[in-house]
Amino acid sequence: MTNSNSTVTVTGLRKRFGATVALDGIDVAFAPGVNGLLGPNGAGKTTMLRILATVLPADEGRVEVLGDDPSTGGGRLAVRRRLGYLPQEPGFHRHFSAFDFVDYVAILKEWADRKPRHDEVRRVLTLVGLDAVMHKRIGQLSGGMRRRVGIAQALLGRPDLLVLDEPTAGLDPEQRLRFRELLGTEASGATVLLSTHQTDDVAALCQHVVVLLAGQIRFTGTPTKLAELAAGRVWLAGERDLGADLAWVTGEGRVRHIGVPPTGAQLVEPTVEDGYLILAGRDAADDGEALAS
Amino acid sequence: MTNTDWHAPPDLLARFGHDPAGLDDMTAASVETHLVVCADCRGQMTAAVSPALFATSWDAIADRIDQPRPALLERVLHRIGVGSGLGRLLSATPALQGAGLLAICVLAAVAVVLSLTVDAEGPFLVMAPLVPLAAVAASFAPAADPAGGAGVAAPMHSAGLVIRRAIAVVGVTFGVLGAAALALPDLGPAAAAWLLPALALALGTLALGTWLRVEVAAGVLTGVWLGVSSVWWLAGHDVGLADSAAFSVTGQLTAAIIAAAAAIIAATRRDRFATLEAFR
Repeated sequence: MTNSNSTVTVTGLRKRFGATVALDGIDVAFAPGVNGLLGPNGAGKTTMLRILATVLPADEGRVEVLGDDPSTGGGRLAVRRRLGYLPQEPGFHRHFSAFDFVDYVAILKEWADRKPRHDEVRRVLTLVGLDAVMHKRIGQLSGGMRRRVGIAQALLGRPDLLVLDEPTAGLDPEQRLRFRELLGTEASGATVLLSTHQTDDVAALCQHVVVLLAGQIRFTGTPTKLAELAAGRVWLAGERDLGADLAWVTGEGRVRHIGVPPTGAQLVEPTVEDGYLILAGRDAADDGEALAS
Repeated sequence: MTNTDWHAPPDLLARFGHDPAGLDDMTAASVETHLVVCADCRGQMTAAVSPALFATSWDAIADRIDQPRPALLERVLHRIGVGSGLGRLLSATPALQGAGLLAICVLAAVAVVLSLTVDAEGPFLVMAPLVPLAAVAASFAPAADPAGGAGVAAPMHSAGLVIRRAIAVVGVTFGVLGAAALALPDLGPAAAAWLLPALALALGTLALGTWLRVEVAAGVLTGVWLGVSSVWWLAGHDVGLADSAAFSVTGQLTAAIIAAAAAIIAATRRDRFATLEAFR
């Protein structure tokens, strides 16, 4: 899995919170480009991103980020100097304006000189389309705008590694498209790790995707390969077939089935979501068997 | 009086455009007033000054407008020589902002009022050391950094910053409690008896916080402190605590030793504060 191009490598990574195993022996590597992390709530995505963003220490295993070991003081500092991190819940200070908040993070990122720091703050706030409201208090901004404030602070200084935990949560469709465009221009050449529940974001953005289920990696490869897991198993029919693993009514009023073909069904091209659902369904079935035994 | 039939000489406009500070105040003010009403002269000055200079000037103006107004504490820290960046980071500590400061003042006031009510130093001496401890615990709360997790992943978020914030919080609480002690003039030298126990408890919270969550550490030490005080009362002594073991010379020495040991432990194990582990 590791190759000479890898900028982030993880070997045997484990993390527990009390009796809960969040990460159970993860081996994975990421290269420059956009890397997506897919998985249901509680799969361990946020824990893994926090460890890679130096916010949490690992219990076991080896982590190397941009050539440094974040478990040491010096390594952690070196990583932080080249990192942009958007937490799942940034925890904004509500009395700060968007400008104050990003400026505050810029100070924490060692932008000591006020003039270049303010220029950079204005640049990133303009990039996310918040230039007109940068002096409004964060408490007065909508959820989508607050998310964009979080994205703006992560972009400060054009970091080599961007760790984004659910960056598109709360963004409307147009903002999501702008975000994709932004990553294409701002993160060119950088390593981007993003977790998301949006499989269409993965299909549109990511060169590499990792599926985490119950603290373990169940898939690693390209979005196309993930979609191919469902090849020959996705069907469109007029009515719901009770024998299908999964079935739902599409916007066109037809029923999309995953699993055995219903009578008279039409085989269709699988999507990334179909591949992910196959994996998640298999995992749930394995759990069911384990429980039954 | 400005007259648009009159126009400023081109060389004067050029000098004003390049460096208004180079003109005497009276001339600069006259040219500025004239430019407001004379489009021809504005045009001449614009032609005489390079666009790059205009852009730079505009940048400087925008920068000045965008500059956040420093908070009162930040201005105070700046006055006493703390750098603007560190001053901003320290003044953003919630325990040092409105509600946090108010809570510290209220706790100090309650301690004074209780002591005045029972006409004895006991309540003040028991409560005062708990105020810095509570403030240190509050400075480690999950919301302690206004930037949350994004702040923790920044290079300046280090054990050093966290410990500096704790020191600032302890310093402020000591100031407030010192002022509160003045309201108890009968206390005499005992007015300072809370200082070393307070330091021991605050530093002890930091040291214990390298193993436990900081708020748990604060809870444990609060329990220990209240337990020690209760034992004294339960043993039949009155509410005057100045002669109790905790505030005797031996007690003060013990507190000093505990404070020193806790400071060494916190410094040795400070790496724990560099991640979210201690804040969870």
